[in-house]
Amino acid sequence: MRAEALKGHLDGLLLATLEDGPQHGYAVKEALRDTTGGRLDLPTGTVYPALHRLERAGLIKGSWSVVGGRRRRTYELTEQGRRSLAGARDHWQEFAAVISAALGGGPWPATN
Amino acid sequence: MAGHELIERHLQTLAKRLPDPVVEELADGLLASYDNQMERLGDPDAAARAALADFGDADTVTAAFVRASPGRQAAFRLLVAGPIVGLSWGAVLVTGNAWASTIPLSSRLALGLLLGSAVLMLLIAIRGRRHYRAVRLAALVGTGTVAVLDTVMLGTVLTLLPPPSLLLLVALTGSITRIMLAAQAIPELVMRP
Repeated sequence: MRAEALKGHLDGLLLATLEDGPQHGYAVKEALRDTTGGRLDLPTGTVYPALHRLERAGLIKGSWSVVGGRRRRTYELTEQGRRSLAGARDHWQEFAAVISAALGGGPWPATN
Repeated sequence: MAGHELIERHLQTLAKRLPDPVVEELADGLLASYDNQMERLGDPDAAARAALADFGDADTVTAAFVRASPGRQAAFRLLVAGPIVGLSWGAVLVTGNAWASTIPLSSRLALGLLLGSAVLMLLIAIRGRRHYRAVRLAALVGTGTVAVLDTVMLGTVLTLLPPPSLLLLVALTGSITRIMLAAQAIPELVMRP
């Protein structure tokens, strides 16, 4: 799947990878690839700018550590990030239901 | 965990374009990817090539950082606000017969020069793709110049006390808004890499 197709959803996807605990940039990219069975395999270098953007927005918080002699920046969700993730999930479920109904030929909007 | 010459070269290219902490973080990610590929492929050259292919080329990575940079976002906001505030001040000056004012020609030229420099810097910040530092510097200079320009306009109004009008109110509001935008953006541009 191409990165362009993720427009509007990348933030939620990145936040979801941090839901279970702190991760560094490469681990975030790997988690995204693994949870989607390899279908979302973004270039590693483009994951970092998105993480920086989320950090500036206060949705994640970064901290430095040293691992194997290398300086590593690890990110974790903030409270605001958790709320944003919950919102992204709700929004996606609503969006997916609407599009599925439309593409599947089912009735929409639902009428009584 | 040793790196590879190809990876070192890639990081050197990125180091010329991006701030040091960012390059340090990217180096960790690239080397982690290289280690993974080494485990999978066993051959250093193949592992380095695979890690680099997975990472993305320097232009793509730099462009992604520039797009998400606070400098570019600040420059964009100020450029969008620019024509509205500029037209408001233009209308105030025309309706107030500003050409007949006692403001010396040298001051007017200096103001025009400041305005031109601010627009040029903000345009450089928006158009830049490959040089994060240049975008950041241009945005910082452009944002600072806009703040100075608007402060001068406010100071001039307070000194000359022109008759109040709706146009003047719109122009003053626009300038105060831009000063606030600049005051918000400048600390981030200075503090963040």
